[in-house]
Amino acid sequence: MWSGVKSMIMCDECGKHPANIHLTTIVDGEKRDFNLCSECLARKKELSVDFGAIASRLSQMIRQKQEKAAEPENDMPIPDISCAQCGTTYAAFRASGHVGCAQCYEAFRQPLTEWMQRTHGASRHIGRESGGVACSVSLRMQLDKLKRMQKKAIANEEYEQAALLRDQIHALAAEMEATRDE
Amino acid sequence: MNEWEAPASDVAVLTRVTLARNFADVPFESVMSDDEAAHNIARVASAIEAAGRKEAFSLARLADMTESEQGRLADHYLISRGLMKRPSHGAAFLSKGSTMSVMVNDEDHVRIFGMLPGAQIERAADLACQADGWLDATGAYAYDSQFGFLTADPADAGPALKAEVILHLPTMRAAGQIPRIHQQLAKQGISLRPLREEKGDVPGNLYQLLSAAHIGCTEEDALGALNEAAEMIIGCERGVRRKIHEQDALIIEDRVSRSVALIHAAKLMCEREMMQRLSELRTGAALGMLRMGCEAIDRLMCDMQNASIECRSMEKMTERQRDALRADALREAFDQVLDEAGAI
Ligand SMILES: [Zn+2]
Ligand SMILES: [Zn+2]
Repeated sequence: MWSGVKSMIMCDECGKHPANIHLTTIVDGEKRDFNLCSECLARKKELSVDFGAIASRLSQMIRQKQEKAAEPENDMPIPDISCAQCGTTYAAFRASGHVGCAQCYEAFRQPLTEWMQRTHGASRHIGRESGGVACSVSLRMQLDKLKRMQKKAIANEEYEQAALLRDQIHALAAEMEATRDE
Repeated sequence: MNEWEAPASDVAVLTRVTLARNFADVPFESVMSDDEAAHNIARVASAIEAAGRKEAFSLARLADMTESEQGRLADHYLISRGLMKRPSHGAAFLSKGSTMSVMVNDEDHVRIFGMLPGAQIERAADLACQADGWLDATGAYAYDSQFGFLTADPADAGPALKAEVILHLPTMRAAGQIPRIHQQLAKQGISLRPLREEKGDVPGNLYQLLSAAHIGCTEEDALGALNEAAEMIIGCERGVRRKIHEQDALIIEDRVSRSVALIHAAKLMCEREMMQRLSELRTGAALGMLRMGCEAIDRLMCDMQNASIECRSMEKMTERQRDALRADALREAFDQVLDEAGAI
């Protein structure tokens, strides 16, 4: 897994919940790793510092992630199944963190779905698709931004501004359609 | 400062967006044969050729390279350190302008980098997605309508995208702000950590701000969050720098000119000191104290690391020889850059 996004490590504080916060700090010149669950992080007073501005602006940006189920993974039975293509067992995947081939996803679909639900709070892909129409990420981000600004303008009853933004959104959407046809 | 500087290059060194992809008909890296590895490389080569971009890329096979040559590519952000752990199978297609790198046979069959200097998240993502399109056209991707792009580590499946901005944060580090910000960002799934960490030191005061798009999250979510976080941190670093500069410009000028003097005088310079000196100069350059741009300093930070210095000689060097060569090379490079840019 990519660094910075480890998961399924248990919380250092309570040991009961999966840690979804991983910190590396230098204490007296020594590197220390902390793995905490959200509840324990909130309880740690020294950590609740006033960088609230960043946090609150960021949370506006990010869609509210679904609450992760807090049940300990140890209680989940490890099914005795394996991939017909490469022979990797589900237990081997859980031990190594890696599957052997693309077919493993098919063989492990049900337990993997539950596992992803626990680790990421989701188990269905909603991003770019393979074989789909290639559309510039920056255009899509620009569109997202305009839509947010429009929503804000409407909320603030700035209707002239909202109308301007609506026109810009239409123009950009048309531009994206045009690139699709290429 | 130069007229031609990348966006936010006073604080941001580089933006890199990574996409992880695999082919459906080849087992993943852990159980892959030599033939299958070679097949993956050939397949990527033909996809690049089919896109009409063959001339724009060169192929680097790790098996044909020394460890120093591999390290030089990693120091220049062109390949991952993970790829170096797979020297027999690993390869990378590098674009001429160093803005794209398609690594083959890393933990995933393909990992695509889109890279640009400074903070340019959307544009770097566009570059990565462009190369992704060429490979997707082979119709061979391992893709599942529920799980998205399939990866060797199922925790990465979905959009399988990660985006990072390398930041130069000397004043925020000195002010002890980094752990605070890291903790706040961790709640948003973003991490801020030393790019490289050595015995509690952060070489060059370089940090990696990283965001990953997991399953159930769009590319735009992760990139947008990274954008916001980068803007915020860049703003903080600038604010603290400006404040110190206003209150006591002499202290910064003193440190910058000491570093200039040391670079001119040193006969032996270790990697750690080189990073420290160049970090001081980068702050000076960002504040307009040097007639030398931040990007020129970033290039030196890459070019003067151990692996690159070792590549300057055919023979194996001792640590002392390496430090002597670095001191000479840095002095020369610095004189040259300053000559081009005019007097200091
Ligand atoms: Zn806990
Ligand atoms: Zn399999």
